[in-house]
Amino acid sequence: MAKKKNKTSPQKKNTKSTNGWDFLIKVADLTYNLVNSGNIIGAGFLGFIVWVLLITFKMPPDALGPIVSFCIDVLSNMKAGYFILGSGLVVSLFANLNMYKTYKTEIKRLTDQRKMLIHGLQTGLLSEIETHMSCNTDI
Amino acid sequence: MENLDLIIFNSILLLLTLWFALYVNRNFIYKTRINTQRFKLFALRDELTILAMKGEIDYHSKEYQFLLKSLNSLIKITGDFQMSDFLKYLISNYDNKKTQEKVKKIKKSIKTHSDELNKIWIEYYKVMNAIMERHLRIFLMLIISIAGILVSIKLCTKFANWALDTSQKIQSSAKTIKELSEMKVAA
Repeated sequence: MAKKKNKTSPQKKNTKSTNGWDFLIKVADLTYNLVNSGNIIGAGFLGFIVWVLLITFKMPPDALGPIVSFCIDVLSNMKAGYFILGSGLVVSLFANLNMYKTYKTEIKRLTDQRKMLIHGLQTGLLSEIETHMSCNTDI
Repeated sequence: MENLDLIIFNSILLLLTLWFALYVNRNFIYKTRINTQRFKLFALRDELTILAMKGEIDYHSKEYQFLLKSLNSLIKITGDFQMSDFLKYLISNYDNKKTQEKVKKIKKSIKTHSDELNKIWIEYYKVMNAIMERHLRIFLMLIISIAGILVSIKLCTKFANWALDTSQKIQSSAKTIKELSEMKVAA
């Protein structure tokens, strides 16, 4: 009987059902992550564009205001496509360059560290590490 | 519309580029920002380990263990920071005086141990402050925006109710005036 009790007790802990609060916490965390990553600005802009496009296509051409007709003029221009693609390319290029710089600096630091460690262990300046503690996370 | 195909094409292109910008932000800009902080912490952890390898600090000393654990947890936080977990941690450790005193003692001994250890501790504190300041700023911004939205909804509802009441009053007074004028005409 005692064995049976021991077997069932951890199962009870695992079958904890989720409630409305868990859902709210998850939504709050996701919203926070969206703000933290900076994607909230883009997401808002994307939503706004979709909204404007929907309104524009549903309305008759005569009823369209001067701003919407200006947007249509811009979008009907072939150069607009080049500009949109160009801006995307520039953003990507800067982001990649920044990432490249950061990683290059870190790789250089790691190389120097490795050289120093090998040299230190060979000359006896450094002793071998006793315990290794990691943060158990992947980059 | 003459250039409808081009408009549709450019609109889709605009949406795709925006999606691409969001993707680049999430996978390159945001990750680089996080990794910049992480690399600083990695460097500090390496410095600490080298101090221990040189024999300037004992592996089993409280100072070494405390700093290493702090660095490891901060590295973990930089990647998967969840506001709910952080708030839970704050609430659960708010009144934990035993741990607070223990940490205070270790901090004091770190400061008096050696200059290099103290330097690592100060650098760790700087990075932690930068990370926490950013999170606090975002958290406050989020709270203020949510409060702003709720207040504006409440104000709009109040205004709508007021407008409805006023229009009803105007309508009833107009009706009364009409009735009075009809009575006057009849008389």
